[in-house]
Amino acid sequence: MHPQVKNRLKNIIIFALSAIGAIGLLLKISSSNIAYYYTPSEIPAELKNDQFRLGGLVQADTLKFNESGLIQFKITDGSASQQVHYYGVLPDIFREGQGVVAIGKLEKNIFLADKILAKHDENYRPPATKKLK
Amino acid sequence: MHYFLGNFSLILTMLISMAALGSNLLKNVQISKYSAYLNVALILLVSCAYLTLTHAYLVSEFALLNVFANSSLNKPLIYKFTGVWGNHEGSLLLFLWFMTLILFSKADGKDKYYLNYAWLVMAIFSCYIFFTSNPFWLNPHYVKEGQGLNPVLQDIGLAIHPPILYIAYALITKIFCVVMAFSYQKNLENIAISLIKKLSFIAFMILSCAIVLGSWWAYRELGWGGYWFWDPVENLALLIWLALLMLLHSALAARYDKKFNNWLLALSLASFILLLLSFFLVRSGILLSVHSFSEAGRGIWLLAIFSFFAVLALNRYFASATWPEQPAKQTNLVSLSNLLRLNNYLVFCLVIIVLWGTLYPIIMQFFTQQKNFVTIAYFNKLTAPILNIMFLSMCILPYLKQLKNLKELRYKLAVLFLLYILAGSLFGFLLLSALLLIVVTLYEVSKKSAKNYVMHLAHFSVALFFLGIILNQNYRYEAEKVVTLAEPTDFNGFAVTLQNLEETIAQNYLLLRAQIEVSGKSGKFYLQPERRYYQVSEIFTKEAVIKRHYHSDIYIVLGEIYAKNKIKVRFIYNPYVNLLWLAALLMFIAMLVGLKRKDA
Repeated sequence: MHPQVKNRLKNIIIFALSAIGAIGLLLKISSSNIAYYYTPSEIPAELKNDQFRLGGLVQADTLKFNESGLIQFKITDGSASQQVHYYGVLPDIFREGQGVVAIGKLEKNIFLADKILAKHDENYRPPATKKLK
Repeated sequence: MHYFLGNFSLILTMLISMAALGSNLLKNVQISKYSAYLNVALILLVSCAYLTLTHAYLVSEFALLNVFANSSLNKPLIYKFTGVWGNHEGSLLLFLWFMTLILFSKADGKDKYYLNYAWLVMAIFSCYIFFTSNPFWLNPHYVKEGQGLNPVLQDIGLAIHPPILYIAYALITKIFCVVMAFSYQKNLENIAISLIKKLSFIAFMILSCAIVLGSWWAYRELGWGGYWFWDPVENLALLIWLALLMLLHSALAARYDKKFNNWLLALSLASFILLLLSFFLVRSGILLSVHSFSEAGRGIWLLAIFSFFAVLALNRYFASATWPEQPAKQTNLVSLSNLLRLNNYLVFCLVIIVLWGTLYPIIMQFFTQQKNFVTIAYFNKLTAPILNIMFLSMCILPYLKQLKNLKELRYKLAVLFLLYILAGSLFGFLLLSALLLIVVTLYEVSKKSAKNYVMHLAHFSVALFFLGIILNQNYRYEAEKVVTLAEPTDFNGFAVTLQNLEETIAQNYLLLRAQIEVSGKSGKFYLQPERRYYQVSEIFTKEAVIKRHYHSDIYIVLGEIYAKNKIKVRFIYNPYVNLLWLAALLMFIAMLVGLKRKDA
């Protein structure tokens, strides 16, 4: 084989192998660091990862403030609802009937939220919940 | 009046840019003689459209749907100016305005190719604005009051962050047109390279400013207490920034190494394509982001624009890229060219990681029909090792000559190796590399005969920036607790006492203000966080307050009231965050000096 062709072949093989390795690593890390977004009726019985995002509307007349700082409310998507407990500070746009996204995990059928998100879009409402209305 | 004037200017802009482009392509009409006049006309028309919209906001012309949806009578005057770009349509018009000014202000009408691409971009964007996102559409109903601007956007952050971002984006468009025009010549000339270098310097500087200002806004106003969230919209801006970073370094290298010409070509085109990709992803509502800025139906057109320019750019790239017949023999593995090449490869890896982390959820959703997102851990795990290598490669920059014989350096290298073993963790590695880079660059800058002090100053500020991030991420403390009037509550060594709660009425909102005493090791201080209630839009906002020390920030946000004397408080201890802003400032200064010096 011509030495130049050999050299080029070697380069191509090294490049291909390292590219495959890099893509494999990327796929592995990204698939193990993925979290899901569910509405209450979509929550599966068997959860793959602990943490997920729960989206929907804050159900009317379910918001309760406990003096210890616990906030309780239900998130609904129309067909099912999910009880949420949260100890943090609510986002500005939060209110009953409005769209909300909670990050946290499910424990004994109660969703313990670490964070409640609001989207600062120009219409004050997360797009995911517009479809529900 | 606004309706007619605005639409009239937009239609004329469309027609002129299309006619100019068409006649230039057909070649039989000699319109290029008049191109200078046409460009002045374009500048005047787009300015007229933009100023008309601004005027409509100032006089609260609710007959325009856009003004009705995003403004109200009692909105403070400054936000009537800035509210113009607080929505999809207005922000696009602002972008078009900056683009026209930057593309045509110094239009050397001689270059036919440059003008062709500039007119093409103008025609496409003005059509997109006119047909799908027209800010001059009429409101079908007669109304006396508008819906008001989202109060989160009523802040100085909105006033400055988007315009600066759009100036950077307009500059990237200019780089695209310039490079496309130059690509018709066989070889990139030195004039082209220095022009691209200058433009990419300015674009990089301004985009850095825009991103830092955006995170400063999030940190200060939005009440999140952080500066970077790996949110898809943030990632997309970061991608463009990374492309510019590569472009900048390639432009520096291309002046003495012709092999970088292909990089230069590819990166100039890629930054613009990434810009269009981010326009499409951000404004089509595909992404699950907190910064959504979208409406369905327009996305498909942005996808079409993105695909069109991507094909165009790829076509030009392969038509004009020059491939050397045989690679020259490498005499020295560690050379400046190779280090710059390594930098490009590493930044390219970062681009792939960030792009993949942004697009992966969309691809997954397509297959599983389940909305999902990539966690922060993904980004941190993958970017940290690459950053580490980048720090080290910046460290060896001043020692390229010594590195030729490694024997003399073996003791130093052994000590370094030992230090890394002692550091023992990813956090330790990163910290050590950043500190090393700080020491090396500081030493270089302080030398009297420092040749490359601009470069070292820039690298120093990079190290300082990441030092701030690393330390902040590790020593940050955040908690949310209910505090009672006059009873101190402990937050990780800080005693927080609520002293007073009062309600008042301000210009266009109701105000709840708390007086809070914080006492820690470094003494006592007082803070007055607020909650506001905007009646027009029926919305609450929280005004975070920050007590700044030079070493740390104490950040307090008011939550909900539980009783007359009980309120929830979010407390964040943010150490070393000032290093970030200081580093960004230093980088800005370094870039400014670099722009002045020809050899930088």
